[in-house]
Amino acid sequence: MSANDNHDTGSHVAEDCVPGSPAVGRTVGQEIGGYLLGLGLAAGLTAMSFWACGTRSIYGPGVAVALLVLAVAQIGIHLVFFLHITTAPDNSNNILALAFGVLIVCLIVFGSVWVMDHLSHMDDLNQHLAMSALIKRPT
Amino acid sequence: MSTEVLRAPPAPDTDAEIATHVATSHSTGRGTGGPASKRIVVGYGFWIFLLSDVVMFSALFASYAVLFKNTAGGPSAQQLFDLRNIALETGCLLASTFVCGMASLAVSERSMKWTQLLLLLTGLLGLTFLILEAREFASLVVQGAGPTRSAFLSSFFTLVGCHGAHVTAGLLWLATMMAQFRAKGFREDIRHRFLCFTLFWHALDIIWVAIFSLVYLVGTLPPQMLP
Amino acid sequence: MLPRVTSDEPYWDLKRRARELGHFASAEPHYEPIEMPRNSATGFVTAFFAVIAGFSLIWHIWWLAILGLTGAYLMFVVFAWRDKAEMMIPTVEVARLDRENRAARAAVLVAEPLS
Repeated sequence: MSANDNHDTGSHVAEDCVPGSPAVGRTVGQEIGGYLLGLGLAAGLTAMSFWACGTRSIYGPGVAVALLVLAVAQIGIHLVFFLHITTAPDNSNNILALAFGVLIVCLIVFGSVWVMDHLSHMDDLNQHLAMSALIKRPT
Repeated sequence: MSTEVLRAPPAPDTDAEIATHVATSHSTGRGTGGPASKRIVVGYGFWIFLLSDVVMFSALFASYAVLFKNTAGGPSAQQLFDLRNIALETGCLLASTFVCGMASLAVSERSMKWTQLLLLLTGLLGLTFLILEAREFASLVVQGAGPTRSAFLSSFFTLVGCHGAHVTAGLLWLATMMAQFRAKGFREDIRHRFLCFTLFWHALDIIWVAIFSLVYLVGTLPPQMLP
Repeated sequence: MLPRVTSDEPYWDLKRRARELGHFASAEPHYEPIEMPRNSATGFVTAFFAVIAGFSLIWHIWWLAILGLTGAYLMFVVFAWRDKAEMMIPTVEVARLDRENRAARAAVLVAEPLS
């Protein structure tokens, strides 16, 4: 059986990091601490989301935005603490792939909502033209 | 190129030869030295697949966002969603992600007892999540708010149901991984598969964060607060 | 590692130099065994079960749907249980194939000399 330890090397040695595997040189205690911190932060953000939903202290239309921001923050916590996606140079491939994925997601979601929301644009225009044509027609 | 090579390799391909040959990758991570080690190739490839899965979910999110207001005179999000249930489900999934992380530590420390225990706990928490979600879906259908009631409900059931289907497949995969660790020990390729599983499980929780924030919590806001 | 380029048309120069010299400038590389995945029928069998599952889901034949999905999952488990996932093309085989290739190209050099 191959005896090589599976912890890949950190940023100061050659190979890249794979997502999900922590950098070498951390003890088990440090690892567990990292996961616990991630769990705590995620739970805190979740609690904040539930609170923001029910409270009156946030300006009404801003609550949805607050929920979006909290969700993005929580996703970031997951990525950093559970998936070990950091900004170290040995992680740049993973960050690049993630950035591309996020770009596609934003395009799809924002693009769909924008297009579907503006479907009635031509209807308004056509109706306006039709009505002005009716007015101008001689009796 | 002749095909007899692939049909009957003459030289011995023992584990020793494979292990000694493949164990050292000369890759420098900067474009020279050949391909990276298997662990990195497997992990990175699965990461890219996961991102494509996220893109699929984003398409379902987009259709939900578009159809959110099309309730066809039927019940709306505000009337249907039970936030206590959602909080329980979120807690289950978050805990199971954390325990999965602990299990991956156990695997890297080569502790069979802890690996099996923590994986079992991960599976039980995931199963709890699934049961809660199934009960929620069943109660919605019984109320007459099933996926055939309105476009909003169709897109809701598709999105959340797709996530639930992913969790189910993940649980089947988890059971298989537990059996494989038991049968074959901490062999290198089994560890690579487990790395992929942890990536998958964490990604499922990430998608659930988006779902519970943008579907459930935003859904229960009163209509005048929606953008 | 950057390639060293000395002219505008390096590929054409490479070929021209080889024809002028009458042989390749590059020596034989160091041959190593190549790792290849073993053939497997998993894809075919899983697709078969997937077709069964899809057909029965359309027509609400629930027992057949469960059968199809279970079959697909079992195929996944069977495939996961294999002990040898790869096979090696041994060094002698790699060397033989590459030498055949080089001999074929050398034959072209000899057959079409620069006039």
